[in-house]
Amino acid sequence: MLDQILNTKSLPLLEKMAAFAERRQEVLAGNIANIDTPGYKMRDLPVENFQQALRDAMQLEDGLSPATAQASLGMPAHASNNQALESQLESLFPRSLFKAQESSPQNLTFQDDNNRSMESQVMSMTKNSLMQQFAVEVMIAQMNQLSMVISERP
Amino acid sequence: MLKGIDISTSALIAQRQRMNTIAGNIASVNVSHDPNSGEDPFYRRMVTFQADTESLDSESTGVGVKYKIEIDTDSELRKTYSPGHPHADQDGNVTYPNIDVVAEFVNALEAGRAYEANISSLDISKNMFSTSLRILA
Repeated sequence: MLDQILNTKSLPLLEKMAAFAERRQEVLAGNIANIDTPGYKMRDLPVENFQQALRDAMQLEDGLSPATAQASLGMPAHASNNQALESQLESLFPRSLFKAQESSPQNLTFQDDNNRSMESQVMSMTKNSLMQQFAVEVMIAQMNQLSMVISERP
Repeated sequence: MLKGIDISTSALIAQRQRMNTIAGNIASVNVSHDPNSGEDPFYRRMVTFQADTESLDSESTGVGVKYKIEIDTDSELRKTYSPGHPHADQDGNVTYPNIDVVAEFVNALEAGRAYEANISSLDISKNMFSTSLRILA
């Protein structure tokens, strides 16, 4: 039963969000580590594609929610429904979303063939860490709600 | 997640090594005799950086940095006319290393700033990690 509460709606998406942010932090840390490396090109994860995938997943869940609501009322076939949702989620977030690529050459390329831009890197890093913090905070809030319901006291 | 910390650490080590090398260059700016190589003067040392692409999965994730210390024998040595100097040649010229103190200082500044930037990125990685740990609580 807990599975249905935990694996529907926003929790799996928040989990994806935090995982993505943590992966992106590694890539951005690599960019700052190579700030003085000749020939290095800044990398990034496909942020826009990821956000599109989040949006698609939200719509997918909205579409499926009556069925899952029924399932949580003890209707049969809920297990398969849940699994279907899960596999659909997996296909929405392929591994390629978590692979770094060289970011588009929007920055100035320096004489040593490095297109460093400290400001934009630090900026993305800060935003990214806030995004991860947000995802985790919301996750914790939902867990707290759940434990409030379980213990029946605020 | 912890990989981010490793990556930043590799850069911290590289930048510190660069700083050490620069300090050595500045210290040796007036060395007219390298005890290790006999008659030759001291040559400028420099640290070169390279992205550490040999590590696993390096194509698709963040990469650390590798450094190498090289000796710059290409740029011209400084010659000063001072006959009577124990290291002077037949013409009375003493050869000093090819070290430009101003350039070294600028590089030192850059190394220091890059070090700071990596410390900040390490800090962010660390904070993200402790945020993740809060899910457990």
